[in-house]
Amino acid sequence: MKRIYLHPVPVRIWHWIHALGILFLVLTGIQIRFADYFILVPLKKAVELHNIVGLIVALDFLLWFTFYVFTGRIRTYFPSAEELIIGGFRQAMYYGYGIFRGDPNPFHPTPENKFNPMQKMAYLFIMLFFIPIQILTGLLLWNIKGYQQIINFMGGVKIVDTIHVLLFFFFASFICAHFYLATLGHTPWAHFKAMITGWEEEPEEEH
Amino acid sequence: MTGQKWKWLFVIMMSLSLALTFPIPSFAIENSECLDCHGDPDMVKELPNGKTISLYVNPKKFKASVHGQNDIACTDCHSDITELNYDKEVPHPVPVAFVNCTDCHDEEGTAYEESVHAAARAKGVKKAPICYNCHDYHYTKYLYGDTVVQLENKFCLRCHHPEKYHKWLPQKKTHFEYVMCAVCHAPNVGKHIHLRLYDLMSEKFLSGQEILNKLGLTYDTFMKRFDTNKDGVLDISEFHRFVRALRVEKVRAIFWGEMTDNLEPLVHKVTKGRAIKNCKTCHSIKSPFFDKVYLVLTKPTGQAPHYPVKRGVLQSFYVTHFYALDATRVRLLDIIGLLIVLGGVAFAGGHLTLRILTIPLRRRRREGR
Ligand code: HEC
Ligand code: HEC
Ligand code: HEC
Ligand code: HEC
Ligand code: HEC
Ligand code: HEC
Ligand code: HEC
Repeated sequence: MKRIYLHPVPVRIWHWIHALGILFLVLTGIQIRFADYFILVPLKKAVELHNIVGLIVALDFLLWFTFYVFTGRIRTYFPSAEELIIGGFRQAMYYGYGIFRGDPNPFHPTPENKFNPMQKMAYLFIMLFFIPIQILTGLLLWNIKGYQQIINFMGGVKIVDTIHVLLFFFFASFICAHFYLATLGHTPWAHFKAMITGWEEEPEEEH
Repeated sequence: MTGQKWKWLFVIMMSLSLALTFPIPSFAIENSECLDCHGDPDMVKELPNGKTISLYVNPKKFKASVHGQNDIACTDCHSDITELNYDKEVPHPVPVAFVNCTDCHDEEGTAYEESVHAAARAKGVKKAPICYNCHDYHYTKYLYGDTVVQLENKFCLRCHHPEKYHKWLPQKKTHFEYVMCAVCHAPNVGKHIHLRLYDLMSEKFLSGQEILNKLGLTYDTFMKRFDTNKDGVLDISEFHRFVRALRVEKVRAIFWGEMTDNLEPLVHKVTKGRAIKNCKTCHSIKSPFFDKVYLVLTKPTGQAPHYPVKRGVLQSFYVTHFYALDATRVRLLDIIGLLIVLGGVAFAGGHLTLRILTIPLRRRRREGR
């Protein structure tokens, strides 16, 4: 068994604040959108909690983003051309076929390059497009009168709300898929453990 | 359209009561007689303390007021002046008696009597408003055409600072801009949604006349043109036709929506401690406050015919600049959302199932090695 230190402390803290935050936002989001069908908390409480946690996640993201940009770590998220085509294909083949046959995972994470090509593409979209857009639309909806000019420029509250809601559904969906994919380590709990301790375990390869 | 019906009844009763009160018009004093003196902008009265107050009544502005438009005479309100005696320096008794608006507007009077304002007044709070502190007297205007913000500025915000209260309400400014105070504070009054056309570029509302001119229609032919199934309400496809006609005429405007009260006497029954506080009264797809939706086409007189529109229009993308959580949400989005979430679940579930099904395959491969 090989052990690699993949996730330094700040990254782990970020990850779990984000994870819990987004889970919480999805739950309160369900309450806000479907107040008629769910009564976990009253609408007013749901709105208040959603706003507070939304702000926490937004600040957390901002911190992460500045840190990653200034240290250049953001590069981890950009796949090279080779990775984009060949690596991506190989990885897709693994998840869609190889994994069922028991083939080894073609990708081996290192602290410098810890995402496989598919992860890179997915996380690039999520971290650099979806989350920022979700934070932006959330901020706009938080104070409609205050941001009226920007909202009008974007086509009105309903448009801003529609973007926010579609992404909300996406994140709800993503949580399911992400959780499942996280169980695909060498044991179902391996990746979860790594995300807590920082150390990823990799089975030794026979060459 | 109960409001409109009521209005007619009101006008008829008003005419009747006027006819009864003033049966012999030839005896009535013409407005012009009063205005001979009071139409002079310099006419003032000196108070004992040396200050002066103007006794001027602007004839043009008076003529343009609701009462002027409806041929209410000076003496209909100042009804204690029954004759002008020019032998005296002042041809009528002074001081002139207090004007009772409720002589004609008795239902408003009844509702007002039950309001916080009447109660405060009775307790001697001088700042509490009576009819004309809110409405003005000589230059009273029709209210149909006003937006929520205009009404609030004209009335409530002159005396109240609602940001100081309503700590429990998120987005106070948003709510005050889109929900008339009386919607919550006169809980028994009927509510409806106004839609009107707003030009984001010039930041102006388009007047009804402007819109009708562009479409080559009149207030009477508007519904005939667009209400093709003749049920008196514009449904979503009829509304679509209206939107398309606007586009053809290059009218670039959005639909401005807001929640307001019916123009009925009950709006005066402003209460304390009984205002609407429950979010779900409004923020629910079942909220009845969004059942009545009207397209408002203002007239230069200040009147504004209301054309009924189906609630579904609020839940469509024709109305993009008005959205109340839950109440006017687009249902199609929920279906798309369900598919997105199911997609994620199906992916995880499907992949897991395949992995379970292929366990024998992997075991055989390991053993074969
Ligand atoms: C000949 C000129 C003249 C005419 C005509 C006249 N008024 Fe006056 N009016 C006055 C004067 C002068 C005063 C100021 C009295 C004072 O000093 O208190 C006055 C005062 C008033 C006041 C205020 C009284 C108060 O309590 O302060 C009212 C109301 C009024 N007039 C209404 C009318 C109406 C209505 C008519 C027509 C039916 C009319 N006037 C016709 C000269 C006139
Ligand atoms: C809708 C009812 C109404 C009508 C119509 C009306 N008035 Fe008045 N008028 C009032 C009221 C109310 C007051 C205010 C009394 C007060 O402040 O105590 C008033 C006050 C006045 C005053 C005192 C100065 C002032 O402006 O406060 C004058 C003068 C006057 N009216 C003249 C006229 C004349 C002239 C006409 C016709 C052109 C007329 N009014 C029509 C309701 C009316
Ligand atoms: C002599 C009868 C009479 C008196 C007195 C009277 N009004 Fe009116 N008022 C009318 C009539 C008639 C209308 C027009 C109603 C319509 O067109 O629907 C009207 C309309 C109004 C409107 C407009 C309502 C709307 O539909 O937008 C307001 C506001 C109003 N009056 C306020 C007052 C106030 C305030 C007073 C007291 C200063 C007053 N009125 C005194 C007869 C009167
Ligand atoms: C606190 C301010 C205020 C006071 C005081 C007040 N009004 Fe009003 N009035 C309003 C508002 C606000 C509306 C409705 C505007 C809306 O919601 O569209 C209104 C509407 C009206 C209307 C048109 C609706 C209808 O009932 O047909 C009339 C007429 C009217 N008021 C007359 C009166 C009379 C008469 C009095 C005195 C008894 C009075 N108002 C006192 C604020 C006031
Ligand atoms: C001319 C000033 C004036 C206008 C206009 C006015 N109010 Fe008031 N309002 C008062 C006063 C004065 C009180 C009594 C405050 C007190 O009792 O100390 C009051 C009391 C109230 C109260 C009860 C709260 C309390 O502190 O007792 C409410 C609610 C209220 N008004 C709502 C409204 C609404 C809604 C409008 C617009 C339709 C409006 N007011 C227009 C002066 C005004
Ligand atoms: C969403 C509903 C809602 C709207 C809109 C709203 N209010 Fe209120 N308002 C309330 C409630 C609920 C209270 C708490 C006291 C009560 O129950 O009357 C309150 C309290 C107040 C008070 C203090 C009353 C007190 O008990 O001391 C005033 C004054 C007041 N509102 C004025 C306004 C004015 C002016 C507007 C319009 C700009 C407005 N409100 C809009 C619901 C509303
Ligand atoms: C009297 C009806 C009414 C009540 C009561 C009410 N709201 Fe609203 N609310 C509205 C309307 C109408 C809008 C839409 C404003 C717009 O188009 O921007 C709105 C907007 C909002 C928004 C902004 C997002 C959006 O839907 O556009 C939030 C958040 C909100 N309300 C929360 C609440 C909460 C929480 C409560 C209870 C404490 C509450 N509201 C009570 C009518 C109401």
